[in-house]
Amino acid sequence: MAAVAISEPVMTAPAYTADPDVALAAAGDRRAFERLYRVHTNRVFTLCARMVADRTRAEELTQDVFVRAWEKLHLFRGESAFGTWLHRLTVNVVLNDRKTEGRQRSRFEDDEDGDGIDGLAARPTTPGDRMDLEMAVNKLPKGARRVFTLHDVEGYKHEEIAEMLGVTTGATKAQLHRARMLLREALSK
Amino acid sequence: MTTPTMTPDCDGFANALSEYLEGDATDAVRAAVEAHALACTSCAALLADLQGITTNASALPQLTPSRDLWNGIAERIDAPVIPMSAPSVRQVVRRTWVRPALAAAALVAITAGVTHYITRASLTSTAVVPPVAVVPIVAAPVEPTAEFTSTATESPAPTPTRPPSTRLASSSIDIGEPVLDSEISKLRRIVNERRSQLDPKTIAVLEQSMVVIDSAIAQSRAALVKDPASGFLATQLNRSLEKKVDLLRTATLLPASD
Repeated sequence: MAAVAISEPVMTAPAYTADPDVALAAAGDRRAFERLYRVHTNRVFTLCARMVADRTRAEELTQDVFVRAWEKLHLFRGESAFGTWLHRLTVNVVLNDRKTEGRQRSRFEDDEDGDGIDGLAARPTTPGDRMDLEMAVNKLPKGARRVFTLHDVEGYKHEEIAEMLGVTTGATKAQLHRARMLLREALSK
Repeated sequence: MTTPTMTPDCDGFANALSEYLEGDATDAVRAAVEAHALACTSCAALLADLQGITTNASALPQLTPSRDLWNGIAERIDAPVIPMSAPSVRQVVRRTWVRPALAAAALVAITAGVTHYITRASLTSTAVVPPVAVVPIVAAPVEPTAEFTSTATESPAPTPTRPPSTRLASSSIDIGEPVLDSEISKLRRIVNERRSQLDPKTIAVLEQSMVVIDSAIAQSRAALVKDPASGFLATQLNRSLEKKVDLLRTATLLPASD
């Protein structure tokens, strides 16, 4: 996959926000920022966890996202909802995360070249125990998992995903189809 | 790229499936996919499964971290910012220069007033001079320092036979020196905090200049101990202190090295 060059999501529209805590936090109010954290933390963590398939790392990344949000909040001008801005920031933080890249390289040795969902054979199963979708997504190869999470779970369009990942929409569509087929295979076992 | 047509078999169905699910298929392909799904149970099951995965994916529940992550975030956003921002430096310097500037203005006003008073007094042949503002020159010679040795040999020190005159007392020392000392110590503190941001060569030049200025200050102060009423020495001391302030102020405003 091509190298990803991602810029911070910068909003340049006239200052406006419906959430007073956003304006307060942008002015340096830490309590307001904590309230924003309480509201948005699960959504940020969920996206991180599904993108990196590692809950411990996802917690670290969630912290990184909020620290980055605190630093960049003055750039938020309310062109979109704060949640949307934060969501996009989360994607950027995850995609730029070198640490996760390193860990996953060791977890998925044949990642992009692999034909199936990693780790299925090693996973202890009991008769009648079917893998649920959450678990199956976590087992997807990195590229397929990212595209599936961003498109089918989070609702991003192919054009947006392609821009974030630095690839073509053709590539994201191919990854998505691959992910769906692998998930079907995993879920039907 | 969309496929204009689809072969009406399972392979054709599989090839067209992605486009169909993405909504990219042409009307003809869409109709062909749906027709094949009606006729083939396994392809119909595949289509239903993939549509089900998409539907279920969008309904996946939110996950929750195993712990409250706020403390770690709070620690990081509360951490002191190491680089000193340019506006705050300027503010510090601006603030620290208010008092010396006021002192200098006061000094100029006092000097002008006293000079005017003395001039007027001499013109009217009045010998009485207010003792608070002026002091008689003292006879103690100026001890030449290393800096002034050459000039001292060329122009002899004033002798007691010189006609009596009056000059300002050491008001410049009394007003200016403590203020300048205070500013120097504040600026010095700022520069010390910025040391790690500055290029080592710049620091070396700065320190070298500081040694020269400090030496001049020390010499002036030593000479003033022996000749406390010397206006020349007081002026020299003030000039040296001002040079030190200028140097430190410049250092506080130097851009951080990369």
